[in-house]
Amino acid sequence: MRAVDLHAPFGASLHGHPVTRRDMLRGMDRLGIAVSALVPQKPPGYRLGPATRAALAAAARHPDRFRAWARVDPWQPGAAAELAEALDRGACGLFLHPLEELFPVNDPRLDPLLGLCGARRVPAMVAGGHVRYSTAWQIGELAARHPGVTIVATSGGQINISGIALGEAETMLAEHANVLMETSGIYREDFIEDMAKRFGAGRILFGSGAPPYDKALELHRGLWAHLPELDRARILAGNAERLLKLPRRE
Amino acid sequence: MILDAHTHIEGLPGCTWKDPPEDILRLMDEADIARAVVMTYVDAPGDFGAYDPVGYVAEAVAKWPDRLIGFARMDPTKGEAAVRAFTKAVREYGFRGLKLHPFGYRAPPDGAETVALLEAAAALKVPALFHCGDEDYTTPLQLGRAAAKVPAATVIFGHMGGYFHVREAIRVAKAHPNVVLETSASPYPDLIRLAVRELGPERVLFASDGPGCDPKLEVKKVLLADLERPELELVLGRNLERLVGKAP
Repeated sequence: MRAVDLHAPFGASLHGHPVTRRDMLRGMDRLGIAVSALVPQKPPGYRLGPATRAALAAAARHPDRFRAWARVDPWQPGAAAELAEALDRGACGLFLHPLEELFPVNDPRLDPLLGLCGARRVPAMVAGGHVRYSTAWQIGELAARHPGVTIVATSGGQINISGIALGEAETMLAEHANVLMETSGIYREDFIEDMAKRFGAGRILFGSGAPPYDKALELHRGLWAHLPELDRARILAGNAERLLKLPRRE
Repeated sequence: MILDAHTHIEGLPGCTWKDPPEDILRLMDEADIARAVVMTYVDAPGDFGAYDPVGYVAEAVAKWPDRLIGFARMDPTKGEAAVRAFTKAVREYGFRGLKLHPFGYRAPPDGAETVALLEAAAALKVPALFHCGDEDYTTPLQLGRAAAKVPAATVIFGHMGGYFHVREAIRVAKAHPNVVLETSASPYPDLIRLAVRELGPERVLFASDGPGCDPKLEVKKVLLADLERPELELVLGRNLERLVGKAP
């Protein structure tokens, strides 16, 4: 079954798991992943601009296999300009990591960035589920301020191994039609299945988040979901193809 | 033979996570899991009207004795009543372990009431499975204090530290020989491999946290850890069998 990885960490890594172009392609080919949307990792130098440019360069080199998210630190002056430049260079959307860049995702300082996403008709993807920074409630508030922007919450907006965040993640999806959920590292596969049944498989997308997650394990979350084949095909590839505006395949 | 150290059944009326035993049995069959530890989501003793969580598990185990292994999920804040109920579960219903979820009942794991239950488990020669994750009262350092207070108890760290405390769980287990790690739900095959290398394969148990987490995917995760075959056999079944005994 065709797979598009919406959340593929790439490049130099402050946290000790660098990924080169070759690493990425090898991993994709081993698992049959057709396209990966590269997420710039936080590099040892902490500067996200060069990390985004490296991802964009990789995408330009392999336009049939890669897309690239623009990762921006909203604390930095010129963040909006940096995002605009990256979008001009073909970035598929904005990636935000509230935990690593230490900002609550519902902070008003993000509004110019989300406004730009809305104007350019590109999505924003948020590393979700982090207490104090990107809970489902916080992602929901951001989504409410920007109803015209598609916001993807990684890990379904909940990465709590007690399961106590499942309910708020479900409420986030119920109350904000512009929020989609990505599956990397998500707690409980029945949550994926239940959300597909309640909201439709069109709201769920495969992303590996690997590294630090494991690409093969994450792919199998979608492959083995107890859902009809058509739903799994949408989750694994169809939804991302539409979101990223990938060329239609014959 | 694969044995699963951590799954759930639940029959509480109105519970959001109502999971009859047939659900986990079906997923066990999909994953080729021979036997599984089952426990409720709710803590006993508690005020559930006519519903008895320990009785629910006991009935399921009695119906499927070759497939299901009962663990009693207890609330230590109920003091002596909890110890009595747990002891009865083991002696009269054949339960093979204790389950504790301190985030649920909000009590420190090394408090006197929890220690009393751990001592009971040690005396009954059954293990104690703690939820071990990222939440209050459940982090490895906190649970390690409980393990240190009752060195005769086998203390299982369920979920081996969750998302953000796995390396800490491995360090704590290294410091406390009575601690073993259980693999459910934590999404890192590479850290399962690290745990086996650091602790030895005898101290890591496969578990799924099913039916919410898919047991077949959880088995896949252990296979992705790239263990040697003898290590795999220990992790996937022999270690738990050593702790809970063979099927009747």
